[in-house]
Amino acid sequence: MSIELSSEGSSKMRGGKRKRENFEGNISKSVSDSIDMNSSLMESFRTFRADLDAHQDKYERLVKISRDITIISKRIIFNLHRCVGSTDREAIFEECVTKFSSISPLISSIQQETMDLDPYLYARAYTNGYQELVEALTFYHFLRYSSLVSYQHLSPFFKGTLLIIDYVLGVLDLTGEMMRACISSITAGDMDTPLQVLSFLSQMNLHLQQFRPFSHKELSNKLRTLSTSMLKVEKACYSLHLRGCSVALIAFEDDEERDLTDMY
Amino acid sequence: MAGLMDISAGSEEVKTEKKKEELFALEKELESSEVHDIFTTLRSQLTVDQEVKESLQRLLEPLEESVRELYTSLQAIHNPGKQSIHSICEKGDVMLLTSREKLGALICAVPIGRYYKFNFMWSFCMQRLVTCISLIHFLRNGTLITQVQVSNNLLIESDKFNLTLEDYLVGVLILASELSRLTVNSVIQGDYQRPYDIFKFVSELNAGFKLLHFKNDHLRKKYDSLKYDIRRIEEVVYDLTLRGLIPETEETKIEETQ
Repeated sequence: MSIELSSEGSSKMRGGKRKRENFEGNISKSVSDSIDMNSSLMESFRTFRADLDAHQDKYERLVKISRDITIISKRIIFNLHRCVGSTDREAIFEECVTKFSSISPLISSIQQETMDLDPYLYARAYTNGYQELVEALTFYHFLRYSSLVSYQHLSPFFKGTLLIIDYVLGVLDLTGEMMRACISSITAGDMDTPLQVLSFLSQMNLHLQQFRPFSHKELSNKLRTLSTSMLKVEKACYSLHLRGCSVALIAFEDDEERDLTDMY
Repeated sequence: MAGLMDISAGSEEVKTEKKKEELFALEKELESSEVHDIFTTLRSQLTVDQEVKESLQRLLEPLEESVRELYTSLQAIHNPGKQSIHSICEKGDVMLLTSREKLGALICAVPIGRYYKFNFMWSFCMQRLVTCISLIHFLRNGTLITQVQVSNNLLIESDKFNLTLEDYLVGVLILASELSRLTVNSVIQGDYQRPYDIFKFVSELNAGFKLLHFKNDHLRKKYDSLKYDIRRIEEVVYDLTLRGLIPETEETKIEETQ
């Protein structure tokens, strides 16, 4: 075919588009026919496919587990918010403990998937789930024992797969939850929790704001959120102090409702 | 629902007492500086990470510089003037020595077991290196250099450093773009054989890439450009065939392989 066309010679300039495509199709065809599907190049691409697939499958599996962890953790956090002003905190805590234990097998599967691997290779796949879980765990711990649980204490629960940065990011999320707990405890007529949150938050703020120099995008975003949370809590406590609970409530109703709807 | 109703029944005296105790406990805790300790440790650990990153950055810059030089020197294949392709490759080999040396310094500084924390930093550089090395290899042998060969060429020891498959494949795709430009320039220099060789090579590459399953990522985007490269090469080959500028060996070559 190619010989036939090239022998036409002079007609080439007038040759329609279709002819040209046919012709090129022929070149590609003759070349693609000549490709040896068992050459070493094709063989190595087959290995690449297997490697890429294995890598992507593992990544997707981890993302799925992470998503499951996120869902449970979010539910725990909502449950914990019901503690504020509740008379039966223990029951809620017990419920949370059960839910936490249901996360444990998920962490085991992450541990198995990433065993003997560079921990940073797949860290991005499950960082969101882990942050949410750290948030839930620290929030639970804060409400129950009024203290911040340290990285070292959490690490066993994560079977050693928790990265420091995920802990820090989770704790930063916690400060947002604390702000919400503070505001809702005002609405519940609780005078002490806001002050407790205030002193705790300002303590954490003091330390966390020193993390600033690191060029970590997520970290700097969350630090900014921390500052705004801090201001909201301070403002709430200020009104509470000056005007007393009932007045503070009225003064804050509009303001905080708007802020809270922003958050959801 | 039960929880929501609990909130309204919040202000009992017992509870306030309990809260006060808690508040007291909390203040004590803060004084005991546990929070302080937690954050001081974390901060020092993150500072170490940051310092490692900065030191790697300092080592990466000379490497990037040398790879840029290597790449630029290889660009001479498009307009060789008096130089032969062979001598350009030789020159590339010499420049590769510098890159290898700079890469060696970087490899030594990468903390063991944390390679993937930092590897995004030199991903681009590795891709360029793959392109350069595979270009020299193709110009000499007409074949695709393997991932292992590139690693060996760069003296990468797999326990500390790793040429990732993605970087290798992206580098190879950039090679295809480079070659598509070379077909045009080969014709300008009156070399009618090279376009055919390149066409055959890139077609085979394409067949290889077709075997892969891509995710919607950087590699996929690069792969999408491959078809345009092939198109460009095809057009050159078409023009040559049309004008009867097929090298004599070509027909027999294709027949042989069939």
